[in-house]
Parts: sequence; C-alpha cells; structure tokens
Amino acid sequence: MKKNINFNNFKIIEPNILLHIPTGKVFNVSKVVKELIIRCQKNVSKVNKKFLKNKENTEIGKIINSLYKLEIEGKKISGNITKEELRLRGISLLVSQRCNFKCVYCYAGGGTYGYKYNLDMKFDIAKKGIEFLLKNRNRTLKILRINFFGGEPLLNFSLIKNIVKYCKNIERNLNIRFKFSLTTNGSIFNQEIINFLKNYDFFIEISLDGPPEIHNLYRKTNEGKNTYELVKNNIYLLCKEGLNNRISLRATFNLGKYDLSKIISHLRCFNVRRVYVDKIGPFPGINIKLTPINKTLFKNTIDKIFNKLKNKKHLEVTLKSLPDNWINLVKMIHFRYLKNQFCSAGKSYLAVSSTGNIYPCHRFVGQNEWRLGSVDGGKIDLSKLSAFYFLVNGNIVCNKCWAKYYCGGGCPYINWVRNNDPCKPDSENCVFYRYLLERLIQLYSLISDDLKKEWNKRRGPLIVK
Amino acid sequence: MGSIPLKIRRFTMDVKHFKILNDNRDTQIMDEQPGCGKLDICIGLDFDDCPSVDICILIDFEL
Repeated sequence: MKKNINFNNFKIIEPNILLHIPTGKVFNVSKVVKELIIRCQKNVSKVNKKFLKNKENTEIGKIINSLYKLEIEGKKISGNITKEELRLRGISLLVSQRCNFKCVYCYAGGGTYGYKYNLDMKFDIAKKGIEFLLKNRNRTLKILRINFFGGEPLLNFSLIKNIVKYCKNIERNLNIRFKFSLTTNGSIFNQEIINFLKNYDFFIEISLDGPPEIHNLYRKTNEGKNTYELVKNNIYLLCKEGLNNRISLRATFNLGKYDLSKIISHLRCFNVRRVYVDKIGPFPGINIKLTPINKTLFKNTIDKIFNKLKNKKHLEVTLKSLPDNWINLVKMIHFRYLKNQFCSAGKSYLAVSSTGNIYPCHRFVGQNEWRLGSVDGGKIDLSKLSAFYFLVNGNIVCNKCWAKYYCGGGCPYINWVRNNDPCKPDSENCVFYRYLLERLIQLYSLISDDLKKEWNKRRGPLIVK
Repeated sequence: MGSIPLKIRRFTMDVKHFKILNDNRDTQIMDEQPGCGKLDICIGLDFDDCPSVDICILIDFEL
C-alpha cells in the first residue's frame, strides 16, 4: 500500500525538534527521524533507494507510520469557509485625529490620516457609530468593545465621557455590556481622567519605546520636545492609582538598531499587565528597508535574549520577562491554536474616522480605496472586504511557509503598503517572524512537563463568551 | 509530495522516535469566521493598538 506524505508539512528545528505544520504538534525526535525528513524534503525518490534500504525496515516503517498518522490527523483539521459578512464584536472610534506628538514613524500622518477638517469627532457621529456596531454585532456575544483611538483620543476627552455615558444607558435595555479601552501616547492625564478611567474599568494602552535615549529619538511633541519624562511620570501616576493591571505598554522599535532586550526589560520594570513590542512600519512614506547589518543585529539581539533565557534555572519565571505578544505565541504553540487569518479586521472589527467614514481597521483610515462607507446611513461596500477573508493556506506565498498558522499571513495593512495587496505578505517581515518563532519553539521545548500540566490546569475549559 | 510504499496496517505514533511536547486538547483553528465562536474563547484584554490580533490569541491566564 502507498502512503502519501507531504514532507513539506514538516519542519525540523534544531537541535532535534519536529513541527507538524497542519496539526501544530511539536515533538522531540530521534536522529533517524530528523535525517529521514531532511532527506525526504530534498528528494524522496533517493530516500527510497538509498536511505530506506540501509535501515531496518521495521524501524523506518514505524517512523513512516507515525508521520502518516500525523498527516491523516492534519487532514481532519480545517477552518470554516469564510464569506464577507460583518458580525462585529467591537469598533475603534477615532475620536480625535489631532495629536500633540509628532512621532517619526507615525503611519497616521501625525494623527490626521490626511484629513484636513473635522479632526475632532462630534457626538452625533459617535452615536451613529455605536448604532452601526449594534446593528451589525455578533448577536451571540454579550460583550461589545469600544476602543478610543486617535490621533490622541484624550484631546477629545469630553466626547469620550459622553459616549461612555450613552453606552451605559443603552446597555441596560439590550442585555449586553460594553467594555472600553483607550490607545494613548500617555501625555494627557489628570485626576478627572484617571477617576473616569477607573470608574468605567478602562483598559489603557500607552506607547513607550523604551529608555529615554531611545524613546526620545522617535517620540517628540509637535514642538520637538522630548516626551519620555512626561509619559513615564504619567505611567507612575496611573500605577499609584492602582491601574497597573489595566495598562499595557507598547514599544515600536527600529529593527536591528537598538538592543531589543534593553527595551523589553525597561518596559517590564513598570510592572504593568502587558508589554508588547512591534517593529516600525513599513508605512506610507516610511518605507524602512533593512540593511544587512541591521538584519544581523536583530538576529543577534534575539539570540541574546533567548540564550539568556535558556541558561536560567527557572524558565517559568524568566518566560514572563518576554513581551506578551511573544508569550502569546508560546501559548499558541502549547495549546495548538492555529490561525488561518491574521486578525479580525473587516470581519468582527472596524474603525470609524472622526467624520464617520468606516474602514476595515484603524490603520486604513484615510485611504480612499479602503473606505467602506459611512455611519450615515450605515451601508458599507462588502465587496471591498474580500481581501480580508482570505485564508492563509489559500495564499500561494504563505501556503509554502512553515510559520503560516502562527502568523496568519501578516498584517493586511502592512502587506498592502509593501506590496499593494493585503494578501501578499511583506517578505522582510516573514524572515523575522520565522526567526522569532523558531527561537520560541526551541524555548518551548525546554519547558518542563510539570509546568505544562500547571498551564493546562490554569487554562481551564474553553470559554465561549 | 512523496509517496512511500510500505506494508503497515496500524497507524500509531512511535514513542521511541517521537516525544510529543504539546500533547493537550485537539488542535483548534482560530479563524475569525463570523459567528463561529471559536475566537470567542479568548478573553482579550479589550483592545490594544492592533486589537483584533490580541482578541484572536489571548488566553485567559498568565504564564
């Protein structure tokens, strides 16, 4: 009998790790398995003639048997067929398309997204945005999420207050709850704002690019002043008010230029709930191309972080020092959660501009070809969303990539900027993503069984909200 | 795609050659299919800069 095994479904990671791509299963494997797969990937017919005959048939047979079992299992796993249909769980409201910062890498043109008028959202527009969310919501959900975005959203704090009040009034009649969050540059906080954020249980994301010598290079005020001290003091103020657990810090880093481990550890020092790192762009007008030197530096800095971790005795403790977006990947590896799409933009999440225009996500705001419609009338052009419904394994480029189920095809906006196509991944991004993922899988292979059991217990049953 | 002829009847993983590291639950595809509910397993920390991403993958416990 013949067994069809697609050897491209297997990825060997040093020293002896095997990832079966369709199932997400990770193994420590013997040298024989490693050698067999590497040879098969090069040329399967040669393997038949030379390699297989030189080994004991039963032993090789057991290995092929195992690989075949995985392949059968992999075929049973598939995502649903998607179609363009909105079932929203949340929206971003760009309540102010003004900003008091002028960050070097800003994709939003200093917060305006190219808009010239009506940079502050009016209550009427915001109310229509909420109505649009309610009308197009996923009706199986009891919680809807509203993110206040900008520009700098706190420049229009009075509107935020009014929207929250409005949402609280209507949620009683609808048997749903709203959850609120705020993405801010961290420069505008006072006691009134802090009390308000506390009262309504906001989640707050603040941009902080690392220690002052790095943060101040990129994040300056409109007047060109440094912003690190201001933001740092505000984070301390929020923490003093007991909001640590409601804060995430996000660093945008210039790939390869600075020591990433220094940025990560600096952010971790604030002891807030989440820390994220993400590399700059490419964005329109900021088409940063990496030099070979920067690429090497990035790899070195990643290696440095992981080598440090590997040498630690208590891996579970040191794991926590990683950024949360990397920890999420470890969780995905452990629980075998595979993504066949990058994100929910254009599917369960949309962004509403200050004038009421609707876009697939906040990053697309101001790009005419991605304007889907308006909250006025609430009709949107679903045909424009087809690119957001593609599946990663239906993509010619991604389908060949071993990391596809962890990355999900990359950010559609970055893909579009780089390649004029939301479905065509940014190859530079792919290289670094794979490099990082490989290191994370190596790290995962060192985690003890006891710790994994502990994770499984704490994870509990799957929760459908 | 490779095709290897072998006379084997039973398909089991050989523990001598394969030690699984992430052996728990069934593999889940976390697609954002409207209404499929699978992505709802996460209890995202509301939105962050790229809200949709974290809603997809956050799992409700700290490592």
